[in-house]
Amino acid sequence: MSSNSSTLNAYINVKKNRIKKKQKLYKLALGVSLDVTISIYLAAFIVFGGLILYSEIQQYQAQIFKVEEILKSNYQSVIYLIILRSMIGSFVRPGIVFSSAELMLSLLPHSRNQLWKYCLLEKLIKLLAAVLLATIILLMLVTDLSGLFLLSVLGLVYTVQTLMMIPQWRLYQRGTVAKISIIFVVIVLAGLVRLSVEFFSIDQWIAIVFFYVLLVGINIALSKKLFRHVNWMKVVETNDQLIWSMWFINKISNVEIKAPKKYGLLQQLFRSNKTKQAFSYQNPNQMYRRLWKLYFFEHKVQVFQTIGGIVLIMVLLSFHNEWTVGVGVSIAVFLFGQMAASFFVGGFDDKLVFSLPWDLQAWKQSFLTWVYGGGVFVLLIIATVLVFYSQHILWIPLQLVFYICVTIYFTSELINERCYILSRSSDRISARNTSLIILLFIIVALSISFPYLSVVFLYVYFMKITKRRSKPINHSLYQ
Amino acid sequence: MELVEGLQLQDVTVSIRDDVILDQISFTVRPGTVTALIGHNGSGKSTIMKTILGWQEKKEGKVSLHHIDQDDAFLTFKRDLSYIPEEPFLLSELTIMQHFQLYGQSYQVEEFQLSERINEFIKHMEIDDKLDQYPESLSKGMRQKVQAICALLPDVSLMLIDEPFMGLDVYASDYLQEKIVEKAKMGTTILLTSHQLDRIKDFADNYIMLQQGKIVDQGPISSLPELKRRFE
Repeated sequence: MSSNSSTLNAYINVKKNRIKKKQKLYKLALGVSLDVTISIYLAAFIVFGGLILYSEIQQYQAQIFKVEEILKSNYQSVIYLIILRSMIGSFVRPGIVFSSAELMLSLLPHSRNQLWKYCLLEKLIKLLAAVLLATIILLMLVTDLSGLFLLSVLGLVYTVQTLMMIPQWRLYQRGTVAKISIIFVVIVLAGLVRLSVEFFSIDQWIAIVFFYVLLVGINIALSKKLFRHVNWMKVVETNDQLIWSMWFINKISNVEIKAPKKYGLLQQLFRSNKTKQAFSYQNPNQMYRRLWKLYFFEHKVQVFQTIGGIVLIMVLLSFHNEWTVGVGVSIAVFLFGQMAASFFVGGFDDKLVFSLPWDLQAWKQSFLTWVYGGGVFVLLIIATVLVFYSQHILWIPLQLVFYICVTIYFTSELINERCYILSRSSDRISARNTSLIILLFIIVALSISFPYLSVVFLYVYFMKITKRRSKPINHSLYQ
Repeated sequence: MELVEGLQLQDVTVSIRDDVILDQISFTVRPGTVTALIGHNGSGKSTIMKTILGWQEKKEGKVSLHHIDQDDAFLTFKRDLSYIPEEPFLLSELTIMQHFQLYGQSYQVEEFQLSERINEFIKHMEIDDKLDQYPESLSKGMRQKVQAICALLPDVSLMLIDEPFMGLDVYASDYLQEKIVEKAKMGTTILLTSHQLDRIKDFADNYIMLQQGKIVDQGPISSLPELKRRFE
């Protein structure tokens, strides 16, 4: 028996047994949770629910056709979305499901690289079945979308996802800063390509072909260093968690399979070697920044919920028209500012902080360092939506600068107000400033349709900043 | 340096980021001998094992087994070694019996030999009633027994054993020791790590002492009283 066929046999054998074991677990869980009566009711519910859903979908055929029209003229956006999805996914998933089973097989006389290739092949087959066949059949059954259209969209999705597997795998092995930088470069590149398509009235298919060629080139380049500096333990632990975290079983057994502690993105960020270094005694901000970092880590669920909410709002509103995109940006900035202000106050609940003779000014500055770091994520979300959606692509950089200014202004006003409250000062945000904030949000909402408003406001903003700098700062506020 | 029979490490250096974990390690383990790697925690014993297994990338140096260079023919190299890790490494997907079959199939052990060996080992290790169970339903000691059996099933020329007696009961430890000696007598090269110096002095031939990733001493195990004094 050749080495390769023996490896393939061992691989298939393990996979078969995994399916068998999962089936056993599901049978057990179903046996515990369902009896005959519940099963009959559940089956009836599924059938009738399906019929109701089908008739509901039929009423939205006109809207579905509208989506078809939008997508037909925006195939390149589909490509950008898939590319970004894979790149963002690389923060938490390696893309190739190489688990402890494959690692264990690689301890035996089987080639780890060969096993990795089988994992890749398996994923391609599953993707083909899930993306192409299952989705096409389902959509053709419940909608009147044309088969050719479905085939072209899902064909794009499948091929781009396939071409993104190796880049995602390599990106997963890189550090957080490298990942963010590469994502940023890709967004800028996508923006430039879209800009060229609009500006020179190029056929969108040329842009699509450009991205395909680029992706093929990247795949060829990366395939030479597929296994260089790979943290296999991190890959394996992440994939094991994905494989064995079965929602239904977890609910029935009340046992939740958690992500490996050591290797999550947050753990990397929060437990790096740098964090183990002693504080600089000369720089109190360093210690405050660390305390804030720990605070954000403890409240990561709320942070993710807010950022997730912002993403959802931006994506949902971007499908309507320019006005709703503008409203989406306003809401994103507002939510971000409110979240920052509420975290700032919440930070004082910490007993350790409460017992320290803190310097409010330094405490605020350290907090803002983190908040503006998080703001980069929100800005990336807004930039992505604008790159895909905006009709005034040349204005995007200026619009982004405008949104940054509004976010900084709004957040710092809110935080200052919280500082006034904490220091029991009688000062509050003036009615004039409140009116300015309201005006700003209206301008943000309008700025998508009328991008030149960004310039007007930026001028006003800089005038205000200059004026404020010339005023003496009331230091007593922070004592 | 000329490649020799047995396991040979030549100037192996391993570093993780800027930390040197193994520094210019060179030693030879002759066929049919048992060599114990000893040293305090963090001295680099397990890293040597991982480097031989190919889990840990070398910065420089060579590892060879019976003239076969690890870098030139890794699969051939690996086909000739088996490993018992300190922590049992078993698959949730497979029952205990399926683990034995997987090892047998992977090392291409003849079917009749495989079942003969399985029967012998499970009887002595007292796990004959656990064959249909999945690893997670077994105690750590039981899993360690399964791992040991898996590694003993094939005929290989090198066995790497990381803390062989950890978690095993006295009877299973004695049996495993007996099997290690038997394998060595048949010409298998054995490299093991252990903190149980009293036990390994009974059957090991040589020792290699490590300290902070460097070999600080090596020689026949008969110098153990002197060695123990220095080790402690």
